[in-house]
Amino acid sequence: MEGIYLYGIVTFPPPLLRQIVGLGRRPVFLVPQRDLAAVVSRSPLTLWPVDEDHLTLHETVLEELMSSRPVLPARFNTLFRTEDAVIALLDKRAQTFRSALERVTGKVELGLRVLWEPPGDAEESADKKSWHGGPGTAYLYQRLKEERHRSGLRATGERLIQEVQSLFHSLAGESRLQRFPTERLLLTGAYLVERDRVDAFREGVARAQQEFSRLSFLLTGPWPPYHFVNGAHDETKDTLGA
Amino acid sequence: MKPKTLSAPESSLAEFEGELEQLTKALPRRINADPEKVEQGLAKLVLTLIELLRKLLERQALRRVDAGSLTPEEIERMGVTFLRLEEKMAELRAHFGLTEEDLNLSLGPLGDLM
Amino acid sequence: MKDNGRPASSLERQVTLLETLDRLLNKGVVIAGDVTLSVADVDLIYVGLRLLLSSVETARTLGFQREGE
Repeated sequence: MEGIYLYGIVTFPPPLLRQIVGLGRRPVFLVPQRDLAAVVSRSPLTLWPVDEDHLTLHETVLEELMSSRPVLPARFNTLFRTEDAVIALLDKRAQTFRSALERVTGKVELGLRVLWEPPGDAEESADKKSWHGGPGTAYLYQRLKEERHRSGLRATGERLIQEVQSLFHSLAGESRLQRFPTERLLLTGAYLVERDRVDAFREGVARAQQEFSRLSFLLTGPWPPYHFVNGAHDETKDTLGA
Repeated sequence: MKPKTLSAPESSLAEFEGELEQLTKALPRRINADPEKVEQGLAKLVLTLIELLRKLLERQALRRVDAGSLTPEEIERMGVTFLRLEEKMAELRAHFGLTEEDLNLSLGPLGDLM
Repeated sequence: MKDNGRPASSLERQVTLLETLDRLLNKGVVIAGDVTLSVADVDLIYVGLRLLLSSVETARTLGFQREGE
C-alpha cells in the first residue's frame, strides 16, 4: 500500500519549475489547494530510516523549493495514507499556514551556536570544621557549594548572552534562543534574516568572534525557516526579543 | 548537500560537533527497533523524569539547609536519603544500560529545570 | 547556497548533518501524519509507573509531602 510523504507546505502558484527527485527516487509533486500546496512524493506507508542519505534528501527537496518561493518545512517522516488526507490538512490549517508563509517570505534561517568555557568548578573546601555530621551532611554541604557556584556562572552567562544577542538582533527580524543547551554551549540561536542581509549577518558574526575572543561562534545556513513556523506568541518568548 | 557552515573557527569545529552530538542524542532515530531498544527508550524517559524530580527535591532541600531551618539530624537524614537515591538511580541506569549523560540531555548544567 | 571554494572537511559535513537532524526531527511544522512511531507497550507503562511510584515514596521519606510543599 502506498501513501504520501510530506516535505513541506508552500504557496501556490508557482507550480514546480523543474523535476525534483525525492525519497526512494520518487518524483516530488505539489498537491494544491487554493493558494497553498503540499510538497509530496509517493511513498510506502512505513517510516523511513533516519540516516544521512534520507535526511539530506528531504532537506535538499526543501532547499530546491526555497529558491523560488517561501516554504514551511515539515518534520521528517510525516506520512499520509491518501492525497485527500493531505488536502484536508491544507483546508484545516489554511489560515495558520498562510500567515506563517507570509512571515517567512523573502527570508532564510541562519543558525548560531556559541561555545564558552564556563569558569572553573567549585574548589574542594579545606575547611571542614562546620561539618560534624556524617556522610549525608557532607553530601548536602558539597551540593550547596556547587549550587552557589552554578548561580554565579549563570549570571555571568546571562550577561554574555545579552551582549551577544544585542549584536545580532538588529540584523534579523526575529530570533529564537535556547540558553545553556549543554555544558559547553552558551547559546543556540535561530535568526530569520532577509536574503540580502545574510552577508551582513556573516560579517557580524566575524566581528563578534573578534570582540569575544573567549567565545567560539558557529554560523550555519541558509536553512528553511524551521524555527519560525510558529509566531513568537505561540511559543516561549525569547526574553531579549523586541 | 553542501556543508552549511558559513562561519566557523577551524579550531573549535570538533568541539561544536561534540556538543551537537550530545544535543541530538535524544532525538528519535531508531524506528521499530528490537523490543530491548524500545524498552530502553522508555526507561530513558522515565528515568529522566525521576532525575528531574530528584533535582527539584534536592533544590528544595538545599534551600532549607541554606536557610538554617533544619536540625543537624534532619540534614544528615535527608543527605543520606539523597545518597541512597543516587545509588538506586545508578542501579536502574546500569540495569537499562544508560549513562548519566543519557539522562542529562537538554537540561545542561545551567539549563532551566522545567 | 554559498560555496567557499574549498572541499568540506568531514567535520563540517558532520556538523551539517547534526544541524539537519536537529531541525528535521525536532523543528518545523508539527503535523500528525497517518503513520506514527509507536512508543509504548502496556507492560512498559507498568514498569514506568512502578519506577515513578518508588520516587514518590522517596519524596515522602524526605518529609516534603508532610510539609505540603
